[in-house]
Amino acid sequence: MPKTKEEDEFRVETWISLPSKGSAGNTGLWRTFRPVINHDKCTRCEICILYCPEPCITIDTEDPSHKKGKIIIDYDFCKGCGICANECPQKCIAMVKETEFVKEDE
Amino acid sequence: MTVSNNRPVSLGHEKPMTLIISGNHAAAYAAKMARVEVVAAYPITPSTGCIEKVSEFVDSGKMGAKYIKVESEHSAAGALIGASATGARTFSSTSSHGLLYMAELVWWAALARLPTVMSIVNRELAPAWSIWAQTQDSMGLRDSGCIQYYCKNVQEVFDTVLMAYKVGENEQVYMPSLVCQDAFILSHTSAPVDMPSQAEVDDFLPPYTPKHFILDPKHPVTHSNLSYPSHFREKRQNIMESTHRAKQIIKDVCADYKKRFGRFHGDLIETYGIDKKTKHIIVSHSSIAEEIEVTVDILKEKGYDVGLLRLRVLRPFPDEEIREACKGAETIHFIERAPSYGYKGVIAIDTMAALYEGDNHPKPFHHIEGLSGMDVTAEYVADLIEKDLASLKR
Amino acid sequence: MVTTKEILSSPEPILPGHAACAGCSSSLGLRYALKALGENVIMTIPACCTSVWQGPYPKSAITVPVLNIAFAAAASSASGVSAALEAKGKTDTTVLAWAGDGGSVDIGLATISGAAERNDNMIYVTYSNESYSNTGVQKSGATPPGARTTTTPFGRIGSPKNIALIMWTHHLPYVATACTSYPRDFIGKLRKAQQMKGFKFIYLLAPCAVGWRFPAEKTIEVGKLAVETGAHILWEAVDGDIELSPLSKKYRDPAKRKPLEEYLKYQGRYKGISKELVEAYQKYIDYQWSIITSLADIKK
Repeated sequence: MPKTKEEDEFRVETWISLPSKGSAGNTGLWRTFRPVINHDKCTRCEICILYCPEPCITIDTEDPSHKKGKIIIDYDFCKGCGICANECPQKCIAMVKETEFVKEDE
Repeated sequence: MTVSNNRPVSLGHEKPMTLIISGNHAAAYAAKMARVEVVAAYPITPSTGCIEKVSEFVDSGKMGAKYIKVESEHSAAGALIGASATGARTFSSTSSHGLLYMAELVWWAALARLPTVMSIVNRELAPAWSIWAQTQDSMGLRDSGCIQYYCKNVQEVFDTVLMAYKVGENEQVYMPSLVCQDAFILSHTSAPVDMPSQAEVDDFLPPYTPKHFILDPKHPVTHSNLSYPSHFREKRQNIMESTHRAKQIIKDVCADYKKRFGRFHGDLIETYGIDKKTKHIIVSHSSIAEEIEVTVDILKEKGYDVGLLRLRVLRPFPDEEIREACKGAETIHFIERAPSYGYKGVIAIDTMAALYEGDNHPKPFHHIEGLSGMDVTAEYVADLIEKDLASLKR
Repeated sequence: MVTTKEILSSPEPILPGHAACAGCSSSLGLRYALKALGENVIMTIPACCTSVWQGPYPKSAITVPVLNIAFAAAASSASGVSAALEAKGKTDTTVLAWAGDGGSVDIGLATISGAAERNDNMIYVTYSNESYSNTGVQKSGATPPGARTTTTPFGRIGSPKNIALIMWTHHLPYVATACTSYPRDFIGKLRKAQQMKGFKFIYLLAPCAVGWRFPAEKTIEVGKLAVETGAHILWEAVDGDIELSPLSKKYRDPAKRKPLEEYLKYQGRYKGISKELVEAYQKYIDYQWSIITSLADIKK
């Protein structure tokens, strides 16, 4: 039986989701405290990366500031749970209230 | 065990043959010839015979499917979903409380668009315990999206299982199917069943190759995660559209099957003794309908202008076909096993709604008969119809 | 044991910006699990926290194929996936059923038991936050004695089921317990399980900041305290032979365990709970140790 144009265009669609960053949006907006790294004190042990549940901490090994690179936190997604600060062996991550940064912006 | 083309083996059907077998065995033979890849089932009377036959096929090496001997019907349906989502052709058989126990996942399979096929032996629900025929088990899942076939004899069970795969796996459909037969009356009654050769079945039913979705690590997708309300209309309408399209696809597949194998049991409906002017139409389903063919003969002999409309497919519902068949009808008589408590028979409800949308509104007569497998004879139904018609004259 | 460096250098299987609560250890647990198992994995996830935190349609934070499924069907659907893979000759793919404690210990118990008895080929991880956290922290069959939940407002009375031991009685190739605070131990166990055919079970303690009412930054610390106080015993059983994991070995001696109070003090769910219930918890822990150490003495 010849198919009509409409029939040919019809496709079964089911619930298919594709792996994506920000599946729940920019979850950085949830944050009340921001982890701020003291890069001078940081030894690049990467314990913060190991324990980040997001995970939104990475190391930029190309960064020239240190022979091992630089730890980067993606603030678009970091929810500010504070695990990184709590687990940091050097205690070089401070949890700073987001309102401090609002003042800064103003 | 797989053959070189990576399909499960199916031995013993090199040539067409006729076997005298029960409805349960007919479904098992059809599953084997469909080269089902994964079976998951839990025994329940009276569908047990089907999965016992499948076990015999699998363990003797005649059927190359993986058979998961699950601990419950819920897990049977869960396993079918997992296997079907991984691209396998799947099969199960259950009945009554077994079907209701898996109901959650029957809906899941339908809404996930997974074209599994299950042989359902329609059995009464408890309390009180009963093992005999009644169709409320599957009719209770009427709204799930599953395609529902109600067979009138053992040959139809065999043929319909094969056709159900072809329809459900159509890329415009992708829906599960319930192929229903009456407890004992068909499930345990042996009758001659004509079977094509395996090569002919292979030609009719190619391997299942899902185009809508598959779990594949090379193309990772997440299926059925949380969704917001704004996406539901589009996805549910897609199911509505598919199930509507399934009507034509069922007709095409039945016509193709007839051409290939010479057998036709009707498509969405089957009529007996009906022309466009038939005044009195009996609407029925399942094995009762085959008995009512005799009723029609008896009544015609007595001079009544009567015919039978057998509802072969409950979902998608053949509304246009019913309106067409009932064009000249003055009365319509429902003989059905399944009541919808608080209203009328399940089939009557849908049929009357279909007629309401047409121009002809025959007077309905309602009969719930054959509960728990009570024998419904041709003479008994003839008597009912005569009384219906006599009541009009008073 | 796998090195921290190796864990860090493997690709990130969980994408940031998902819907988990801040500090969620189940997202951390799945991150470790998929780092351990690689990319050739198919997952089934029943109703649980992960069914929400993976993010809403049409996006997902998980980079391997996932079949979301109804509550009691994580194991059964994984059995189906596994059978289909076998039917298609794709036996190099790992099937991972990932369910919460409710979906495993309670509503899904018959289903896991069935899949285990059949020895269906999969790794089943119960990540346990010891309550129905996803629905707002109600008591589950894994809630420890004395813990306050929204359905045990004065503290849970009675004892939880030890699902790992229940699974052990199924004669499985591999059973283990783990904790999200010890990724090297957990990953090592998963890799061991991945090498085996049949049903492998891991009970993963996943401390829940929201449900247990501790500050999110303490998630790792609380998990470590669960092990150091002996409240959570790390062990594994290869082909039935139970052995304490290195991290728990020294706590066989009760004198070496930190006082239970150390573990409970961070947890709001134990705040104001009667002394009797806390003692009941301690008794439960001691009894668990007796069972595990006695069973560890039995060899095949």
